[in-house]
This record gives sequence, structure tokens and C-alpha cells, in this order.
Amino acid sequence: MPTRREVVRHPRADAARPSRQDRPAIREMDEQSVAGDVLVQSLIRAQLGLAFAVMALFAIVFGILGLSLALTGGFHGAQVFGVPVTWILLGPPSFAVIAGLGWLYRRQADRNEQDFIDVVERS
Amino acid sequence: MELAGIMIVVIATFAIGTYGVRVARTTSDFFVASRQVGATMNASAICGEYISAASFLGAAGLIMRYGSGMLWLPLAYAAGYLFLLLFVAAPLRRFGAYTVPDFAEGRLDSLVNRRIAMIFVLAIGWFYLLPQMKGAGLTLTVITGSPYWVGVVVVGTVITVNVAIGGMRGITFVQAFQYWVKVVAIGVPALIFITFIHHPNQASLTQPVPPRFANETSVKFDRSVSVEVSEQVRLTGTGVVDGLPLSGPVDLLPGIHTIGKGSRLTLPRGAAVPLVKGTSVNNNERWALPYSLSGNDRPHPLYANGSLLVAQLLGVMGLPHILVRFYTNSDGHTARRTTLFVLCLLGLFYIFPAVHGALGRLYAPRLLMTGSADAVVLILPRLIVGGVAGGILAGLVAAGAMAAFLSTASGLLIAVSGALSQDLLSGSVRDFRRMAVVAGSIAILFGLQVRDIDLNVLVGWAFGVAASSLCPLLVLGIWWRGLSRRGAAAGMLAGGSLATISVLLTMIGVRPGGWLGAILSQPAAITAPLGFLVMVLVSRATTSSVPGAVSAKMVHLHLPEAIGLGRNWRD
Repeated sequence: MPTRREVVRHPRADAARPSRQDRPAIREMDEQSVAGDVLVQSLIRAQLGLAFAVMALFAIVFGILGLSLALTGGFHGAQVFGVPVTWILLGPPSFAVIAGLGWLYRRQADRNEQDFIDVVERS
Repeated sequence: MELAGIMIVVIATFAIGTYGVRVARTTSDFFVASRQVGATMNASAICGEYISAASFLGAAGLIMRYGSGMLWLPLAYAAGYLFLLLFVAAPLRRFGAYTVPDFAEGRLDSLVNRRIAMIFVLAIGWFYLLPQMKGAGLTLTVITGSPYWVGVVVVGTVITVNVAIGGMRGITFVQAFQYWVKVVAIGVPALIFITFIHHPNQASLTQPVPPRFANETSVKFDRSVSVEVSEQVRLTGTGVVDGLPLSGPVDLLPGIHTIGKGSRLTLPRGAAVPLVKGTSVNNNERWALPYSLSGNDRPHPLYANGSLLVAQLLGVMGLPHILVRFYTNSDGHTARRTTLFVLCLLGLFYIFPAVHGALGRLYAPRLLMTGSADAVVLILPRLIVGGVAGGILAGLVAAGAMAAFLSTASGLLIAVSGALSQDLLSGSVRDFRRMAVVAGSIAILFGLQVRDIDLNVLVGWAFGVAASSLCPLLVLGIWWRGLSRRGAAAGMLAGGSLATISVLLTMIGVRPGGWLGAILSQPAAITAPLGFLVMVLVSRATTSSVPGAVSAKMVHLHLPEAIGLGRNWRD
């Protein structure tokens, strides 16, 4: 995977920089012209699509887990070190999956925004 | 020891709160900590505010009674933040409104919507304050033997005074501190229990047998209960059983029996525990393996559980005291980072209640007989460890429980009094303080009435109302340009008031059987989708009341700050 250059900016500093406001794309968005609207809408659509994708992943993972536990009676009461597998699976691994989904979302959402900034800056 | 733990938490809370208020200089400092709080601190504070009595005490109690089916509950408490991260966190911060009513007004240019949102902030806040008051009363009863009302009044007063003098800046530090108190207080005992302790009957937890008393056990009843006896058992002691005063040993045959208030009964070693009628799973194998929801007097338990999960997943987005914390992030990017930390910190906390719940079934089965399983976390240390070490652990756990009600109740009180003072009065710090006292007093009064209702049922109500009113407003307001003023108002009113009415009916004791009863007592699975649906349909029908300048609002909500167009909605 190619390494991405991290761009660190302070929002206020950026707001103060006069040259950016001159970018045509930014002016279009500021004036809410049709072109600017289309641009903003593309970002919103990307972020909403991402949110639904992660939500679907969440539903699939926990749907499968819940159904398989219910249908097999907790994998026929299987135990590890005297603890039923159900209690282990619904413990730390499940919390790790939730945090992992959050991490995935955050990485991708930030990328969407960076891509958007790149497009706007190039205009 | 327990009292010492509680006192330390209270004193530290006051000290940090007072220190914080000296740092705060302006009104804006006072309310939103001027958005100067770092992501780690903010995430700890959010968790500190979120982990309430229902999580600290109630989750373990439910797991003790119903077993593995309830393991989903802590998971859903955490997963609610995943949904908040996906749909709300960054845009809401970028919009720059302080509170949900601010968002309603700013997004829809409508004072009517602002007022409706405010009403639900108040409803959610007060419903959510009730379980904190109950937790407080219960904890002090267990620890000191004081009457229930003492705990409610004492803790309620401490919280009210602290909020009135400290404001938000103090509270951010206090909340962050209290998250760590809670994690240590539930985690350290759990780790000690599972590392060093081995109970002779451990294996019975997964076998098809009822829970049994490991030793001869004396059980005190501070209220009257109906218990279900599964095996004949010989009782001794004093009190009233089945309406007859006890004189000498009596044999209880299998069936339902009532035990009078004030009875003190002794049950022999090895006796099957008579369980409070219909509130616990009687067979350890069914308890340990999935979907042990039967043996339960709620109608349609699978629906009830599913509806509670819906409320938890969607409700977090609409909790006013949590949302206000997102405005203390410096930008949308940080808001996401904070939420991700929150998911990790909550995961750390929520793996522990299951340990307490499972051990409670072995060591404290008498709680299944008195119906106060919510107290299991508090009494385990002395039962399992004993001696000085047990005393120290008990003090630690009591401190954690205290931190749980203090932090959640403070956050709620800030949200409620903030909404009241800004919408009904001038919004000055003085009004805020006055409203904090009013709101706190009302919470104490109602807190006295909910003694017999499960902590997680009470919390489920607050989440259910949030999921049905403010959650649709936020999600559709952030992502859908077509949301109209009338649509938003109709949706909030339809979902939110039906949820509120169901909760109020259940609270005053209207509990019909069958599906109606199941829906009334846990309405979110119906009312949350209804809120969304009404909002969309009415918006579609009233396109003329879609607010103007939607495009500009979408820019404020979604554009990264780096572009330099994000402005506060007030500009």
C-alpha cells in the first residue's frame, strides 16, 4: 500500500489563509451554486454510503454470531477452560469487533475527506 | 470501608469541581469548557458520564438472573457509540450548536422545533435521572442499612450542589476522573475473583440444576415477595410465610409462596434457591447457554429484549448529556477520534459485569430470593474475599457505584438545567444554577417512587424516548436535505410522545398482558421506526416548509474544517 502523506493543519490557520478562498471550487460551494452543491453532495453521499456499509457489516457479523449461538445452543455447550464459548465470544472479541468497525470507519471517513480536499485544492 | 470509599469520591468530586470553576472565566467556559478539551480527556469524560448505575450495578444483576441472553446488553451499550460515530459525531460538531434544541433551531430555522426538542431533552433527562436515584438509594441501603429515601436524598443533593457550583468545566475533569474510578472499581475485583478464587460448585453453573445455597444462609426480606419453590425446603427463622407467622421449622412444598416484609429466614446448606416469581432463570444450563429468556413474567421476552437493544443502539445518539460533550471537541476530525477512544474505553469497562453476574449466582444466590440482584456487585467482595482485603474491595466497589450515579446524574442535570435556563430564562449562569436546583429537586422526588423497578428497565425507557424523538431528528437533519419543519415536528411528536406515554403508563402500573403489554413496557422497536417514518412522510407531503438555505447548512455540517467554510450556525 502506498504511504499517504499526512497533512496536519489547524482549522483556524487554514481559515485565515486568504489564498484558499480564491479556489474556484471553494467559491462555488460558498455561494451554493449548482456546481458547488454537486460537489458537496458528492462528499455527503460518499460518507453516508460508508456509514451504511459499516452498519451492514455490523449487522452481518452480529447477526451471524447471534443466529449461530441460538441455533446450536451455544455450539452445543462447548467450553474453554470451563467457561462456555458463548460467554467468551460475547465478551472481549465482540467488543474488539465493535472498536475495529469504528476504526475502519474513521480511517475511511478521513480518507474521503482528504480526497475531497485534494479535489477542491486542484480546482 | 464502603462509606470511606463513597466519601473519597464525593470529596474528590467537589474538589475537582471547585478547582475547575476557578479556571473557568467566561460563561462559554462554564458551559462547554470552551472546546479546549483534548480527545483522550474528552473520551474518558464521555465514558464517565455514560457508565451509569444501570451499567455499573444493573448489568451484572441482569446477567446473574437471566444469564447469557443478557450478555448482549453491555455489547449494545457500547455499540450505540458505533452508530453515533457513523451518523452523528463529526457533522454535529461541525454544525457548532451547543445542544439538541440549538441544532433543531439552527438546522430548521424554527422555534417550534426548538421547543419540541427541548421538551424531549427534559423528558429523557428526567427518565434517565430516575435509575441514578434508585441506584443511589439501593447502594446506601446495602452499605449502611439506611432506608431507601436517605440515599436518594443525600446523593441527589450532592449532585445538585456540585452541578450548581461547578458547571461544565469542572464537570469535564470530574467525569474523566470518574471513568477511571469506575473501571478500577469493577475491573480489579473481577480480576482478583477470577484469578484467586475457586468455588467448589463452579461446575454446576453449566449443569441442568437450580442454583443452590453453598452454606446455611440467613436471608432478610425488606419487602414482601412471592417466591417459586422448586424443591421442598425446610425453613427456620422469624417472620410471615404465606400469611402465617412462623413458629419453628416449616417445610415449603414446591409451588408459589409469599414471604412477608421484615421476615428473616434461614435456609439449609444445599437447598435449591426459591427464586422471586418469574424474574430469574431457574436452571443453570439454560442460564449459561443462549436465549435463556423464559422463566420470566414479561410477555414476549424475545421482543422485549430486541426492543431494548434497538433502544440502546439508536438511543445513544439522542442522549442530550452525551451530545453536549461532542461540542467540546475542537473539530469534526477530533470528534471522530474521541468517539473511537470511547468505543475502546467502553469495551474495557463492559467486559467485567459478566464476571460479577456469574460469580453472584454462585456466591450470592440469596439475592435471587429477595429480588435485589441489582446489589450483586456491591456485596460480592465481602462474600468472596472476606476480612480486611474484602473490606477494601467493598470500599472500592462502593466508590465506583457512587462515581456512577454522580457522573451520569451530573451530566443529565447539566443538560436539563441548561435547556431550562436557556429556553425559559435569560441563559445566564445564575439562571443555570437556579434551574439546576429546581431540576435536581424534581429528580429526587420522582426518584423516591421507582424503588421496585429494575435499573435497566428505567434506563431502557430513557433510551427508548431518545431513540424515538431526538435520534430521527439528528440523523435525518444531518443527512437528508428534504427534512421539512412540519416533518421534523410531526416525527418527534409521533415517535417521542408515544414512547413517553408508554413509559408513563408502565410507570403508574398499567401493564396489560400479551403484545400490547410487551410493546408498552419496551416501546422503542415500534416507536423509533415510527418516528423516522412519520418524519419522512410528512416532510414529503409538506415540501413548502423545507427550510431555506439547506445547501449552506449541508456545507456547515459536512465540509471538513480544513476547507475553511465551516461556520457556526449562528453566524
